[in-house]
Amino acid sequence: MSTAFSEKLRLVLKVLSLSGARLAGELNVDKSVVSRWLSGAVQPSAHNLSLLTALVSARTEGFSTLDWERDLKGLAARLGADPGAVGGGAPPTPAGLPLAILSQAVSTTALRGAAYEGLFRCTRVDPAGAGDFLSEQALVRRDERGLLRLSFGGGGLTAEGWVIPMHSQLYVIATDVRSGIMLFGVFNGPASARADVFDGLVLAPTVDIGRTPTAMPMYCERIADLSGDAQADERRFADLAAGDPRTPAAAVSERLRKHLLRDIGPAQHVLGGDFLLTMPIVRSLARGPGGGAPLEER
Amino acid sequence: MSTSSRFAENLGLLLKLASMSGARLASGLAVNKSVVSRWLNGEARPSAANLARLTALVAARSPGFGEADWEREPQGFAALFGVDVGAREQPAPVLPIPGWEEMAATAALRGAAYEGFFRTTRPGRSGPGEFVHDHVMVRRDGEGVLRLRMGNNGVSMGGVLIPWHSQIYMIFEDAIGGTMLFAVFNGLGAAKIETFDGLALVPGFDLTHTFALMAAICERVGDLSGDAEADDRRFQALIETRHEAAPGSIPEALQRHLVRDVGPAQRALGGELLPTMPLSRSMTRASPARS
Repeated sequence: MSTAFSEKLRLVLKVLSLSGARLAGELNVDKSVVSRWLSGAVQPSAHNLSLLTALVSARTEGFSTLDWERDLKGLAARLGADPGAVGGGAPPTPAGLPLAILSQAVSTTALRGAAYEGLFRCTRVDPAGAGDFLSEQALVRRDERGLLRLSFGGGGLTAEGWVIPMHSQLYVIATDVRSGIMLFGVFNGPASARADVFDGLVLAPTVDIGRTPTAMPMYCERIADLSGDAQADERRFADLAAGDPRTPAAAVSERLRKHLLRDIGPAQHVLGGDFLLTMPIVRSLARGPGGGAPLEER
Repeated sequence: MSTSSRFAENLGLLLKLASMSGARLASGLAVNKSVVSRWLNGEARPSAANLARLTALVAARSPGFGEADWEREPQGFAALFGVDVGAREQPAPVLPIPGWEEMAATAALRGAAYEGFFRTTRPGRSGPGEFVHDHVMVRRDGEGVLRLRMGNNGVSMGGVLIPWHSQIYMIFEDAIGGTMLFAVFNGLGAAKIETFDGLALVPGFDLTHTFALMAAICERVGDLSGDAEADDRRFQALIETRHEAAPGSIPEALQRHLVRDVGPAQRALGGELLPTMPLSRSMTRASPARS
């Protein structure tokens, strides 16, 4: 894992016997800026990083911006401090969920990610309602790391997370920023240049006080492409997500109702129905352009 | 690595080494800032004229530097300037998650409660009466992250366990097969977890990895020994064979706990609409704190 810049800056200040306030004065920035660097809330701009580097190089011959990429021990050695004196104490906190599969996800996203970018309306059974539905919004776009970033929201949820395409699936990991609950999803991703519909299963605790782990099918339909203006897309998403997500069963087509609300279990199995909740590709409604008639016409 | 991405990496390295911003380089070469940023993110390579000027700029500080040097591997390129890039950190791939710092802090604080060896019980796919046992090892790594290994029949997946609020989230990955497995279980803020249950989205072994939602329970079968290698060997031994529950070995009550009828027809009969694992009937339990 990579050591946070804030830790490296703390080390540098310690070695150079500089206070945060004095550093702020030397760099001619506000004290609060330096404290945000030290807390890890923000990283210095390229301009400030070069000023900071110049300040260190005035005391450490040949110190360059590249030296900030050393690990903590390497940085200590570069500054002429004892590398053994750092790295003790509390273990460093990793910056996120460690996943070996991520490099694979980045290359798959580079190949297929554009197909899943856009604004979608997602329909699922309302876990709190008596057979009614929820229509929520999903905004999917690639970020600077080459991963698909997801914003998902309706009345009760404001989730931020990721869509990870792999083989014929789209894996979703998101966190509701208000309640802190994590949401998982596995969707069938149509292998086309542009996904118009994808469906799958979602698993999450309910947002109510019981926080009951609950699973259900979800159906997502494209309502718009990205406009090219990221802020405009986010505003449009926020406007849509601010609406009431509750959708009466009568407003959902019978076919979609049956797709999203199924009888399953041992008794169903005896009757020739489903034993477990699944979303096999053969039953999936996922499609791209020309990949089948819209749901309502099938 | 394509030639433009290698050029991009080398140019990026050089700018860092010179503590120079892309904007300053752009003004030095009298080109637009956006041109330099396209070079730096590998979208474009400089024209012959710009490459010559850029090379001259470097050669002024580093005599002997020529255009061919841009084609060197980053390590060899850095060595030209007396820098060992092997000393740089390779960041491990991590997925940024809102709230991750708090989650990691919780795992570091309460993680010991979840460490150990567990046996799962979950329904087989083919129908009622059939159950499968997987084995799971939970162990904190050097950074306090609760690492998971789960396996059965010689096949295993790695993962991460996140105790967070009253839930236990589990994310497994199989980098070779290219699949993931998600689970949300009921947790307890207790000294040592013995049994926990919840729901899991499990990939199938068919070609398209058809996912199935199933209820599952994990029961502790042992503690970590403190010797990581011995624990690894124990885990390997546990997952070597195929573990299917012997017919009749799963008590009726547990069978009913894990396999239920749900859906609109059940709802009409007073049952449940969706697969859930509410805390009210959860079998999650912990042992009291040890002295």
